[in-house]
Order: sequence, then C-alpha cells, then structure tokens
Amino acid sequence: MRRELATLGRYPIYLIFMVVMPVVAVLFFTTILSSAQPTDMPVGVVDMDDSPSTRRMARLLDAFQTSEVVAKYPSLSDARRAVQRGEIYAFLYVPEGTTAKLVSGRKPTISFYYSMTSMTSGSLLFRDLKTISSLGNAALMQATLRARGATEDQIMAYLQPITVDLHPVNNPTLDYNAYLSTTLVPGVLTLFMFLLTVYSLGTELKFGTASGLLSEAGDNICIALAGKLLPLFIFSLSLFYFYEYYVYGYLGFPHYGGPWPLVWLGLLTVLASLGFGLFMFGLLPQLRMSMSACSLWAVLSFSMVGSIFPASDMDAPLEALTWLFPLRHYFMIYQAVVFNGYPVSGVWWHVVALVIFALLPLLVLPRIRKALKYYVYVP
Amino acid sequence: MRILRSIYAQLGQVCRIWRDEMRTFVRDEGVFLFCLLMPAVYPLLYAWIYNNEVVREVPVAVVDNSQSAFSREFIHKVDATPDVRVACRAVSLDEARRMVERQEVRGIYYIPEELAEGIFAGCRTFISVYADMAVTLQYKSIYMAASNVVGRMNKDIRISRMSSLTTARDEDVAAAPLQFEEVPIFNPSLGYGGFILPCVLMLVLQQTLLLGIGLSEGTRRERRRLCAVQRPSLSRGYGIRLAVGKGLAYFMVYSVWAAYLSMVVPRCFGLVMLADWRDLLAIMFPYLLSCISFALMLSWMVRFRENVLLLVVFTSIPFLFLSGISWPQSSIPAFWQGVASLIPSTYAIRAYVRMASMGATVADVMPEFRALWTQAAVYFVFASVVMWRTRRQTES
Repeated sequence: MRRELATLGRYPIYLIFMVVMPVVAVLFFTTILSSAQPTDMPVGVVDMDDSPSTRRMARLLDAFQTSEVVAKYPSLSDARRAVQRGEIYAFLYVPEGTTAKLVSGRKPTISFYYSMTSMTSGSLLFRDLKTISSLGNAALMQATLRARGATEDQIMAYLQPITVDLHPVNNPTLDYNAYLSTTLVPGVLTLFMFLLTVYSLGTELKFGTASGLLSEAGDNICIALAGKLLPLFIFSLSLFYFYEYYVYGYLGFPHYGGPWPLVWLGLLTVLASLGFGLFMFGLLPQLRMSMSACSLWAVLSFSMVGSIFPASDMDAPLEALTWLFPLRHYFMIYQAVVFNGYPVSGVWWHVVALVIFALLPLLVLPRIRKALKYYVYVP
Repeated sequence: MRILRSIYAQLGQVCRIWRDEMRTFVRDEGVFLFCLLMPAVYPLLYAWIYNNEVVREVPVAVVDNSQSAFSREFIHKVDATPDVRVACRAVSLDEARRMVERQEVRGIYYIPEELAEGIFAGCRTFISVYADMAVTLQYKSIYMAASNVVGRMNKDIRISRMSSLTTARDEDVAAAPLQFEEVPIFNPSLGYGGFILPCVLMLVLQQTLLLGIGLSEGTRRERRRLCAVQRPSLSRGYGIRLAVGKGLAYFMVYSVWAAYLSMVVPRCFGLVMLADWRDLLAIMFPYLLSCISFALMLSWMVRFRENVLLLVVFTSIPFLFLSGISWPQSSIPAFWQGVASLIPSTYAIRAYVRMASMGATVADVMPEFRALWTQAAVYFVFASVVMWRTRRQTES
C-alpha cells in the first residue's frame, strides 16, 4: 500500500488519468450540453407567394424557441443547397398562389423540409412543424367560427375534441443534459477504471517489479492485489461520488430515488469496473493485450448501454450480449432506481450482475499470481 | 550535380524510414491490431448494432375507463402504428404504474371516463400520456403515436359534426383548409443508424491512426531509452524527412481503409450514399494527411507505449460530440467550438455527412475542405519539429 502510493507519486500519469482527465470529461459533457435543449436552430424560408398571411407564417416559425429563421431563399434548390452547405437544418416552402387558393377553398399545400441527418435537430424541428400546422389551421378556422358567434371554449372544443395531455414522468423539461451526461460520463469513468486497473498491474510486469510486490505481501496474492488497488479504488470512488454530487446535487438532475441509491450504485459500479479490469488482466496477463481488450470493451459499452438507442430494438443476440457490459447494468439500475425512484426489486438481476462482475477476479486469482511471479514483459 | 545527389540521398533516407515503418505494421502486434484489424472490424460491429435503425413496438399499457367506441378506436389505431404495441390493459392507473416500475411497459395511455360524453356534449376532453423518460427514442415513439392517432380522430369528429356539408371535398376543406406536408429530405428513413454510422466511420479512421502511430512512436522511444543506440549526427531537415517517410507508410495503408470505410461499408449496409467518388477523394486526401500529422505531432506525449491507450481511447465520444452532428453545432458553447476546430475529425465528419447523406459537392463543403488542408499544413510543421526533437533527445 505504501509502496503503491510511492509509485503514484513517481509517475504523474496516474494523477493525470485518475483525477484531471475524468474531471475534464465531466465538465466537457455537462457544459457542452448545458443549454439542455438546442435553441434557435437556423432554418430558412422559401416564400414564393409573399403575401401577408404567408409572411405571418414565417414569423410564427421564427417565434418558436427551437427555430430561428436566418434567411429567405428565392427558390427551392437554393434552400436545398443551403442545407447541404450546413447553413440551415430545415426550411418552409410556400408555393405560389397559396393565399389565392386558401381564399377560394382549394386547399393549398405548404411543405416543410427538414434534414434528419442530425437526429436531435431534425426531431425537434419536426415538433415545431406539427405545432405550426395545427396552429395555422386553427387560426383560419377560429376566424370563421368566431364570425358565427361561437365562444372561445366552444371553438377549442370544436378544433380539438380530444387533446393529448402529456406527462413526461420525472423529467418535465425534457432536458437532454440529464439524459446524456448521466450515461456518457459514467461510461468515461468506467473506461478509466478499466484501463488504470490493468495499467497499474501491467506496469509492475513491465518494469520487472512484480515479484517484489508479491514478496512484500508475503506471497499472498490477495494482500498484494488489495494493497495495489486500494489507492486506485479510493480515488475512483471519491471521483465517482464527486461526479454524482456535482451532477445531482449541484446541477440538480432528476434523482427521485433520493441519495442512498446513488451511494450504493456508485460503490457497486466502481467495484464492478475494477473487478472487470482485474479479470481482463487475469485472462490476458500482458499489458498491451489486456489494455486493448478493455478499451474495446469500454468503447463498445457506449453503444451497448442502450440509453440512446434502446437495447430491446437491437438484434436478439446483441441484446443478450449487453449483459456482458457493466455500464449496461449501471444504466438499467440508474434509470429505474435513481431516475424514476422505483423499487430495486424490478431490476435486482442487474444488481446481481454487477456483484458478479466485482467477484469475477476470484476466478483468475491463481493466474494473476502466476503472471506476477513468472511472466516477463514482452513489448 | 551535387544538389541532385543530395536530393537523391535524402529521398533514399525517406524511403528507408518508410520501409522501417512498414515493417512495424507486421511485426508490432499492437500496431497491427489498431491499424489493420480495428478499421476492418469496428465499422461492421457498429453497423450490426444499429442495423435496426428505428425504435418499433414500444410496449405500453392502456387504462380504459371510458369503454366507449372512441376509446376502443383509439386503442386499436395506436396498436396498429409501428411505433407502439399495447402490451396490456390495466384496470387502474396504479396497476399500470406498477407495470412501469417492473419495466414491463414503458408508458401508459390513460383514457378518462368522461371521454365519450365529452365528445358528444361538445366539450374538450383529454387522453393522458405518461411516458417513462429514461430512453428518449422510446418516449418519442409513445408520444408521436398518440398525437398522430388523436389528430386523425379529431378530424373525423369535426367532420361528423358538420351536418351542413354535402360532398366529401367540402368536408375535407372544412376540416383542414390549409394542408401541411412534411418532407424529411435527407436520411428519409429517419433511422438512427443512418445518422450515427457515417460519423463513426470517419472517427474510426482518425482514432485508429492516433492509436497506431502513438504505439509505434512510444515503442521506438522506449527502445531507444533502453539500448541507447548511437546514430550518426542528425543532418538538417532530418525531422521533415522522418515525418514524410513515416507519413507515407501510414498514408499508403490508410488510403485503402479510407476507401473501404467511405465507400464499401456504406454500400454493404445500405446506407445512403449520394457522393461521387471524386468528391470523396478530394476530402479524404487532406483528411488523412491532417490526421497523420496530427498523430505524429501528438506522439510527443507518449512516454511509454501503453500510455497512448489511456490518452486516446476516451476521446472518441467527445470528438463525436464536437463534430456537431449528434448535438446541433449551433448549440455548442463557443469554447468547445474552438476546441473542435483543432481536431481533423470535426471537419471530416461534417463534410462527409453532407456529401454522403445529402449529396453535397466539394464546392458546398469548401470551408471544411480548406480547414482540413490548413490543419494538414500546420500539423505537418509541428510534426517535423516533434520528430526532430524526440530523435535528438533519445539519440544524442
């Protein structure tokens, strides 16, 4: 243990990757997503009709929080090229004669072109369009109905006999930051934990100090590993708690489960990540191979976690494979217990899985011992 | 004549460096893994993960307190949409809530008792949608399905109330005097894969280059430190020749990968590919150059070969975000925009997505094209300096 602290002091890289980089990662995700929902995304208008009512439509679009009309284009192809150049994400196309058709009841068509190559902006702008199209129609019909002497209530009841009343449970503002930061940041943290576990053991091999470590621990592999990994464990755990405090305490992300689930979930995740790293090292007791394997695993877990694209919609074998990723279990427990405040009983399998990950290294202890004692570093 | 001979000697040196570097590809397992295996396998893996593209049939529970023709119509129509699947009908809201807690369903449609009476009496009525917000795409499906179905039902109800109208055409006009048409122009299948995969493809190129070059440079520095080989004194411009020679080796291998990732993989998985190969070539060429120089430049940070993994691996996700595809560019804070402009993948992803998915030409992505060339030039200068300095440190 004391020996390990001395090693930590000697190589600044430990400090950088245990503290500085994770903090940078936490700040990165929380600041880049700080606007919670993208606002004022640039959109364009192609108004071939150019009458007061179509101009009002463009102003309506501008008034939405998510969109901002930045330019008018003389033709459809000009607007399309602007999308291709990345200047705008969507545009409203009003063909010639719209007003004339409207007045004579010939049902003109207005088109809204939006690019779905950027998922977030595409779906948000689509939502605006939905609102505009119903508002646009409503405004027209409202005028007719009011002329017939209907009251405001009657008008609304007429226009929307059934209204969809949305209750976004537990995240009423639809804050994207709360979605992404809560899975991507733990992902980065587990990645560092994987790699550092392997790295700290592997460098012992590399510099030929591994047998020294064992003899100092009285040839007891458990003591050796415990002493070796205790500082890393303490650092990682405090970092994880710092992240959780920062995100839930300071930034106030939804956590309806209260603070206790956060505490045990953090502990479990850290243990499972260190356990997984150790297991990998036991399987492939070569610094480079085990680090490569860990990084492949960690990078894949960002996709397999299923927070953005749900795991249930992946192919069946892939869905089964998600069980092999600690981050996936973290996410499943997080979304049920922390985010929604449901009882643990719904996701207890995932808790068991994390515990198994933490215990995995027991299987390979003899191998690690052999590796530390006899293996020679191969560059 | 002497000038010619010196040029010849220098070219010879470049070729020797190139040859040595090509050898490490095969000899060094790490470089082999990252530069030859990963670019081949990774995209296929990702394509498989996102192969289903869209979220379908999200399970929901329905609480039908109305038990009327309207509520049954709503349930049938919602169930018929591709977005959601009515997994069960709960007796009460509490029962449905417990099902959400057990993760059996992801949302609840609650139809209150007074729905049918309200509609007949001409009052406003409500259908409540409770969605579990943990997975965004699922929430969107639940909400979209309900609002689409209700929109159509509203129109029918309005029409049925207008006794004065006679023809179907009249009814249609009265219900919606103005028609809106929504046209998703690019990535029309609205798929998640079609959106994320092009970004991943470009990023794989850069990240594997960073890893491979970092590994091989790290190894070289370690070995030098161990054996302390004495080399003849360094002549002027050695750094440039080193950078050119090494760069050439990586460039050769990666031209193949760039072609594979930008043309073959998208075709295999049926992604939208509107770009002409000449346009792609025009972008990939500066992209590879700037990536290689960028990687050579960053190799000064690698003291031991394994450190490069720690340095590079975690950057993948932030780089993806910085490119401004998954999170709109206009919403990225200015500071991070600045950081993004230092990274080759930012411009390559933007340019590639616009060309491949939107059919833009090189003329449309001129800013990105220029940025990539600028990066290539600037990083090459730095890379030469780094090469020269590290050699001097380890060899003198």
